[in-house]
Amino acid sequence: MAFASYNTLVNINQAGASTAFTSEATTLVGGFTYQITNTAKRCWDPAVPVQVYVGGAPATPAAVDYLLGRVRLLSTPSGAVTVSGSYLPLLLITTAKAFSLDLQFDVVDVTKFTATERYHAKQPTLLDASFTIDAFDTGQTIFDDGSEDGYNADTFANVITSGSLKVVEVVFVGVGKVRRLACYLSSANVKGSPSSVIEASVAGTLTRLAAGVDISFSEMMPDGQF
Amino acid sequence: MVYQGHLAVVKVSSTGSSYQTVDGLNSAAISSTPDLEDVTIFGSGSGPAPHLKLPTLIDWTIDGSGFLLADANGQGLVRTSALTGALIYVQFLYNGTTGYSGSGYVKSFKEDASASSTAKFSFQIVGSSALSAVG
Repeated sequence: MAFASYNTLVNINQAGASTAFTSEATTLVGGFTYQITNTAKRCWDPAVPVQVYVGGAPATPAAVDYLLGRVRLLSTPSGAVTVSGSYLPLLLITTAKAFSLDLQFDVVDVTKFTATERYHAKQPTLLDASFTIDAFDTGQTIFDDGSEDGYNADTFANVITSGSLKVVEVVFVGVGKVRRLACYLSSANVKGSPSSVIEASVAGTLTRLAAGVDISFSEMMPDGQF
Repeated sequence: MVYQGHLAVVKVSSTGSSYQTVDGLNSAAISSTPDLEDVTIFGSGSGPAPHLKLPTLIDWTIDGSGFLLADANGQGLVRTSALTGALIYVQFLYNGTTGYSGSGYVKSFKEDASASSTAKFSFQIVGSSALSAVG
C-alpha cells in the first residue's frame, strides 16, 4: 500500500555534540542483530568505538552499524546485550518539504573474448549515493558547522562553507522506515521571488568513513545482514 | 490484440527461481540496445552509399518506478541488490505471463517524497546475461 509522506521527518546530526552512553540496553531486531533501545541514541559517533557486552562480559560483534545503532553478533547471546559508546544527537529540519535519495552503482563492462552469447557481461564495483533536501528557508538554525563561527548552529546560507561530516536521516513515520547517510554537503541554494517564499535546497554525497558508517536502511536484508 | 498496460508485471529473484513481484510499480520499461559497429570500408560503391553496420554485443536495461510500499518483498529485493551489488534475476512480463527474463545488477535506486505527495521509488537494472523470452 502506498503511503502519504506529509509526516516524513528529515534530520541532521548536531556536529560536535557527541555524547557518551554506558551499558545501554538493546533490542533484538532480527537474526543475531541487536539495536540500542533508546531511539535518541541510535546515531553512534564513528570516532568512538562501540563496546558490546553480553551478560556484562565484553563481546566481539560480527559487525557494527554506527548509523542506526545496531550490532550483529556471531551467534545467539547467552545474556542481555548492552552497548557503550557515544552518540550524535539528530536535529529535526522543521522546514523541510521534499527530499530524494539516489543510489548509484558503478557497473563496468567485463565482457571477455570467451563470451558465449552476444550480451554484455557486467560487474558492479563502487556504490555512490546522493541526496537533496528542499525546505522553506526561515533562517532556521539547524545545520551545524560546529566550528568556524563559534556557534553550534547555522543556516542554509552558511552551511555550504562547512566541510564537516554530516549524518542525514529520513524517517517515513507512518511505516517506520529509516534511512541514514554519512555524507558531505556538496551544494546549497537559496532562492525566492517577490511572489513566492524563500526556499532553500541542500545536496550531499555519500562518503564511507569506515565499515558501518556509510548508508543504512532500517529494513533488514533477507539473510539477516544490515 | 493490444495488451493493456495495467497487466504488466516486473518480478525479481535472488536465485533465478521463486520470483517475487515488485509491487507498487506504475511504470516500467525494457530496453535492448545492440552495439552497431560501422564497418564501411574504402571502395564501398561508386557514389553516395549507405553505411555498412555490424551488430556486436547487446545491452539491455529494465527501468521501473512507482510507489514506495510499507512492506513489499519484491521492492526489498531490489533495495538489497542496490545496497550490496548482488546479482538479481528479473522478469518483465508485459501481460503478466509473457515477456522477457534475464539477470543483472541494480545500477540505480531512488526514493523520493514531498509533503504534498506519496513516497515514490525508481530503479534501473542493467543486464549482465542473455535476455530470454518467457511464456
